Amino acid sequence: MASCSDELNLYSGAAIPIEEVTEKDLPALRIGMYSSMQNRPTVRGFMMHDIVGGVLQGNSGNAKDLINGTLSPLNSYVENSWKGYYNALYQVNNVIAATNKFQSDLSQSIKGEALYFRAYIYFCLASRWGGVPILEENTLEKLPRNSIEEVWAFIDRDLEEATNLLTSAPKSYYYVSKNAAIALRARTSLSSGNKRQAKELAESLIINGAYKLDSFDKIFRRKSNTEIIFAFENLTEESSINISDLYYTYQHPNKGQGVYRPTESVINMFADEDNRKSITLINVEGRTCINKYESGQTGRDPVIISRIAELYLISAEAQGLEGNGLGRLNELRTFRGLNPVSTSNANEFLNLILEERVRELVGENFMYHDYVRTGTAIEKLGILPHQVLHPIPGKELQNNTNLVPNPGY
Amino acid sequence: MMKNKSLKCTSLTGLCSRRVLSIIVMLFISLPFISAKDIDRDQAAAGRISLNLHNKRLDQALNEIQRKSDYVIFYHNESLDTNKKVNIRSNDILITEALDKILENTENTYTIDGRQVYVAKKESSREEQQPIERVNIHGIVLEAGGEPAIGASVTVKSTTMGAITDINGKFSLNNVPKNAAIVVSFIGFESYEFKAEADKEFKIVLQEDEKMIDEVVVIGYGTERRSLVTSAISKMKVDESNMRQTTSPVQLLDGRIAGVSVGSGSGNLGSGERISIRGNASLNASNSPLYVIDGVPITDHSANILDFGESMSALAGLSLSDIASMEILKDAASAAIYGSRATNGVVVITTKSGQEGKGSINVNYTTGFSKFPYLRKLKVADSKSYIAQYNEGVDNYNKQNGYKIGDSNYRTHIQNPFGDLPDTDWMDLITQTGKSNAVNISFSGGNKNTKFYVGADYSSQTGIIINNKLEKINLKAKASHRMNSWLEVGANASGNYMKNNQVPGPNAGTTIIGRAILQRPFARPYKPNGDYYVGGGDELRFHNPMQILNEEDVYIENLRFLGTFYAQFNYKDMFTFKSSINADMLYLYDYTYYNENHPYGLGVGRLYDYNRHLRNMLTENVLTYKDKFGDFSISATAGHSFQKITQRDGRFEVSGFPSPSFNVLGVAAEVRNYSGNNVAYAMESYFGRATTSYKDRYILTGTVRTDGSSKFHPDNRWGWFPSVSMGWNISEEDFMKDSGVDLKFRVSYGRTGNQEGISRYAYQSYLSGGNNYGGVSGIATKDSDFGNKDVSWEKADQYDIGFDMSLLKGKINAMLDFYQKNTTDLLYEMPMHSTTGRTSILSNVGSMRNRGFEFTLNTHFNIGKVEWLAQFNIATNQNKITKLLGHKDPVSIGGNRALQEGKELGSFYIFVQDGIYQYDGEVPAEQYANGVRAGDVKWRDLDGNGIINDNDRVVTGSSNPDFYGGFNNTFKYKGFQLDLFFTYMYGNDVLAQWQGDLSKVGHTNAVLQKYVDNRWTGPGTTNRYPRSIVSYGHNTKNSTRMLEDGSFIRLRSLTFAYNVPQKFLSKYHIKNLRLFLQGDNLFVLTKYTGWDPETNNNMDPRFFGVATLGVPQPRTFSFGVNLNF
Repeated sequence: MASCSDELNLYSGAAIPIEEVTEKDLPALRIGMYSSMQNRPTVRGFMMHDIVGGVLQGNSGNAKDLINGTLSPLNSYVENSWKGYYNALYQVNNVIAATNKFQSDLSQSIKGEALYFRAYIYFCLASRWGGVPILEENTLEKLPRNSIEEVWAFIDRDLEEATNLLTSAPKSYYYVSKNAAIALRARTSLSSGNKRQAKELAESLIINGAYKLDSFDKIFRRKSNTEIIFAFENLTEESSINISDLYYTYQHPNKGQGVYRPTESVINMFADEDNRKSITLINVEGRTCINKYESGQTGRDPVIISRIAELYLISAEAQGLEGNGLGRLNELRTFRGLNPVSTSNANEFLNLILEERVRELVGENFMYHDYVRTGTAIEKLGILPHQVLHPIPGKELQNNTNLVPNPGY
Repeated sequence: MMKNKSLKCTSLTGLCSRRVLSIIVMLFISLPFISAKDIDRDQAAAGRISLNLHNKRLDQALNEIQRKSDYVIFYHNESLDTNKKVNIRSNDILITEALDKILENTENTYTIDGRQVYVAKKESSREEQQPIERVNIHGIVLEAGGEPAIGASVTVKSTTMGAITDINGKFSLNNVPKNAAIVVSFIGFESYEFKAEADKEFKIVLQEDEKMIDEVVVIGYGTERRSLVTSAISKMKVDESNMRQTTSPVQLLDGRIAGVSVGSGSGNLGSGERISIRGNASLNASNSPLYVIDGVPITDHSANILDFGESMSALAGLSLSDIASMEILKDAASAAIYGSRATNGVVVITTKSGQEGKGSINVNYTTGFSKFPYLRKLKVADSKSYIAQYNEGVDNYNKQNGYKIGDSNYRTHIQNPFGDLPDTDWMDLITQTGKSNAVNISFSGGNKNTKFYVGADYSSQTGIIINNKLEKINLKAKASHRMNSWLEVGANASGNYMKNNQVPGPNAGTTIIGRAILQRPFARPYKPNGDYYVGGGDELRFHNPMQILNEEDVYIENLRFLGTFYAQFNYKDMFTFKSSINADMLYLYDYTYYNENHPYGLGVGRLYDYNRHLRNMLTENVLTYKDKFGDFSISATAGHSFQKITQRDGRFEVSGFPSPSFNVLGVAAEVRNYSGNNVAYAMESYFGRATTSYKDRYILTGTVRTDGSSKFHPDNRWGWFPSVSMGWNISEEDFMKDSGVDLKFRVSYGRTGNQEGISRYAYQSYLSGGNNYGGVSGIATKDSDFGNKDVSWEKADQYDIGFDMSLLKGKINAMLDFYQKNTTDLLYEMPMHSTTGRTSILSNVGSMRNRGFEFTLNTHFNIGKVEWLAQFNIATNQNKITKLLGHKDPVSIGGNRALQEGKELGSFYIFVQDGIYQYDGEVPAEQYANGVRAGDVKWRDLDGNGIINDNDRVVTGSSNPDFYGGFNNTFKYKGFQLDLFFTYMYGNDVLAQWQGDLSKVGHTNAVLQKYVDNRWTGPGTTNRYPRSIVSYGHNTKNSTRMLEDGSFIRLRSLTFAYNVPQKFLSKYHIKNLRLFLQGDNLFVLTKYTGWDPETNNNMDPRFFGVATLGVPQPRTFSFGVNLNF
């Protein structure tokens, strides 16, 4: 009886074996990297600093209850974003490895984008879990944790190289640019305590003229604007990241699950003359919802990673009262329809910055880390000392016995 | 590699082309015979045949005529003229002409009575003998129940002279020697003897043969006499008395067979079922048995594509009434012939065929209704007590946090927003009385050479939740024909259609019971102006269930073609070679439309339009050999099969419809999401079996199979699965002859494999397309794309020892089996550390053991005039994970389960409630800081660090029962029959997760009255029920408080039937008329506090035994008629 063994060799029509990647596949790999970066961290990856940042609460319980409920080694959102970042990192490191094989201009610029993304991933990891394992290339090893200092240094190195590699301007702010790398580096410099570098980088972007403050109804409603430096385009059919769905309720015409709502104190921070108010918040049948993402369940909205207003705030904070900190802060306030403020007390100034960051950036994944990096988290959020770091997911500790848990969990 | 792929895909059917070719050639060769034989058949009907006899003896000639015609010929061997040699050659000759011709110049003559021919000596020659007084006798033969025995043979003892009873059970025999012994025999009944007497109307009532009949059992690739079966095979013959109104045929097995447990999802129509045979032997590979219908291993694919909150039965679309029997191949020796897919046992379904003899028409009609059982068992607090306990929770919250009026975090009391309006009965709103109608008609018949069966079914049912509706149409045709002495051909095809209007299952966001019972009691579905209250706001906490049901249109359609076409070549009754093409074509359509008024309708309407085509093609060539050498008999089977299963998907999610009246894909304004794929896997197998027996006393059977699966790397592709079994029919030994006892001892070992349930390209690593960004296509690696080229077959070694016993001439039958099944190289998604970029990798790790025993007892006694038949079965199974990752720590899976070496698959991994803190001082500082106070649950702090986290869970309890089974009692009296059928299970735990929300006192959802009434209100009040507190989630963890004993005894069905006596029927040419009333699921005795301990939100054995708010199995009442012409 003749054999049919050949018929047992079957292959997918939706994929190619990894070993068959050629230089021609680089553009597709690059796009796949963008897709992975946009989707793998999961929707709460783009919200976590708000969820545990004291600006949101659930349907039952206040902001602190939400923080306590979330910061658990058991929590699936914590676990899924941890997994998501490392999965995205796997794609990024694959791209970096591929670009190292092929030495074309295209290859170098893709490498620049990949390095930006790797830095962004490590910023997300470090700002949640502190020192985490650094993978310069993919490995099956069970790596121990690196120190937080090593992580910041790694981020800075990647961003510096990315800045050098990224030369040509991308076709839109939905793609990584040299300026995006600078903007991110300004942020991570501030986080790592390198205020001088943070100021220089932030100022370079404010001064160079490519970006100007713009109105919220352009920034958050997909109109052409001068604010955004880098955002994920997050097209409906390409994305599982639906932030709006978790903010809007079913009473809103665009529908949403209404899982998170802003706290009373956040709502009260918006004066009527603040021209950000109507885009930031909306009242839906008696309940205030975050309004920066407008699609609800009808679609997806771009997710902004960097925009110029953040650089004003970085610069202001980095310069402090000794430099032109107050000036940059008031420039932003004035543009947003508020009166200038003034103070000569450093703590008070920091407070003003943090409050302004809430007004400007609420819903954009900043607050928890802002409080933690400025050492104000325990007081502002009313959390326990160990809660300035997220718990390493329990399953990860089980699967990698070389990992040390964050204390207190 | 890519080039190769495109070349390989060109074969016409996707099947191995050489196989197809050979079968086509064979069919082609057979064609001329078909036409020739057709002529034969037409001739026979007209009493004409073709004959070609050369130098044959008279008996050979008569036999040939009998074979070619529809006539039965009776003769005494000794009366035939032995010297006569017959020579005849004619293509078209009347029977009478033929008989005249061959009896020409002999001492014999013949008479014809209907289709019976009597050949006797001529009167003249009889005169030479001593005159014997002859009589004509006639009478009727009835079965024990009073029905006529159709086709019973009535013969004069030691002669071939005789008659067959007609459809009324009547017979007549002429010219019988007076006082000759007349024997009546009928399959399944004890034979009866009486003396021939004239002028008497004989009425013979046959008694059922209680001795275990040597039934024929379907085994893989063949059949076997029960006495030669050396492995653990159980058979369920499906008939009117054990028929129930289920959607899926395999649910009929519930409680019928020892060691087979049938789990159910919910009581929604067509909800998924889980058949587990001898426990669960796999982790990530499938735990479902292989289903083989009339020899075709079918695709076990759930009926839905889009998850609507529960899994849907793979088999619900199939017909119940076409099924003749179901055989369960339980041990490896019986299943190993199916090799790689047999670890979980095999369910062999055999459908009805035509029988030789007069045609039969069956008409069955059943109608009924069903109810939500025990609806009031879950009692939620009314508005008054709800508000009181909620406000108490608010007070507790404000007090412990020191919040005062005016503080931003101060919580305020609630009041009934609707004043004195009566509470809404939410469950009443969504439930209804279900109705069902089923009609089935079948025609069957055949003669020696040709047999056919044609059947048609239609059924429609509505569920106990409004909008739930299921319709089914099943058509079936089966025919076989012997072309000549060496060739038989046949076809067996069924077309099945099912449409199921679904309601959201327990895991959906719109879970229908969850969105009803959890609403606060004062909330209302409609505003005074008739608009819906929209869920998610402060007025209505959850989705409005009426809005969900009214504004969506959700259904699944299944179209399934099952077909077999074969040709079988016979050589001298010793060899057969059967070649077949088999197909299981399944087309699934899944339609989910939320119109603009639905919460998910986006305000513009949204449609999920999914379809899937599954094509399962199988070619098979099987050679069998059978022979006898003295007291030794030998049979052997060898075969080859190739199976390929392709799956094509197309999915669209679209939105933007002008109005709810527009509801098709093409109208939509926007494509929100789409996907499509075309995937395949294939398997090639060689298999063989040999059985040898000595005097039916000692039997030895060996099987071997080797499978190659496309899922594995060529280096690890082929697996070998042998088995050996022995049987000893002790009662065949001389020392036990005529003891009235049948006793058989069986022992077997076998190895089976498993590869179902894992990814089609499990060994290959990929970069997948579809990772797009900015409208440009991109490639990346998904979690499922990490292949493992080392992965290979999961293997199970199974040992079985069994006894079959029959005592008191068959009044008591028993079957006892002990088994152990060791699974090794478990296919397991081994968890990986995330820094590898993946979360798990499919590997062959670990091992598992299942062991248990099964006992079945059948008895048949009479209590006075009442016949009593009882069938009792019981089984145990102990599961143990013997090795997993090399450490003894629990591996957490899902939210509340764990795998752990030394524990069983199905263990829970939950917190332990050690009572309630009675005083604040008892609360550890770490928990106190998180708001825990007196009245809150004291969770066991395993590591003693004061914090309650992941590490404080314990592996405890199990969803596996200690023992389970069924108990059926049949009582027969005259034409009446009462069947009482119980199923039971003992020692299975259920995690009643639905209690999580319903036990939250002080929360914004309805609460069980029990939790409100018994809540902690001060030291000493309770050590079980927590206090009322808003916001905090501390008290509602998955814990031992929700872990309940799911043991039960269920009155699965009660059937009362009446067979209308023959005397009323015969003038209408009705053979049988049966009327029946049936109650299904009439009661459940259980300590479980939910509606039904057999409601599960996940059918995977790792997660089985968790109950969320699923619809319980309905209580059904039906009435039906079975009519047979």
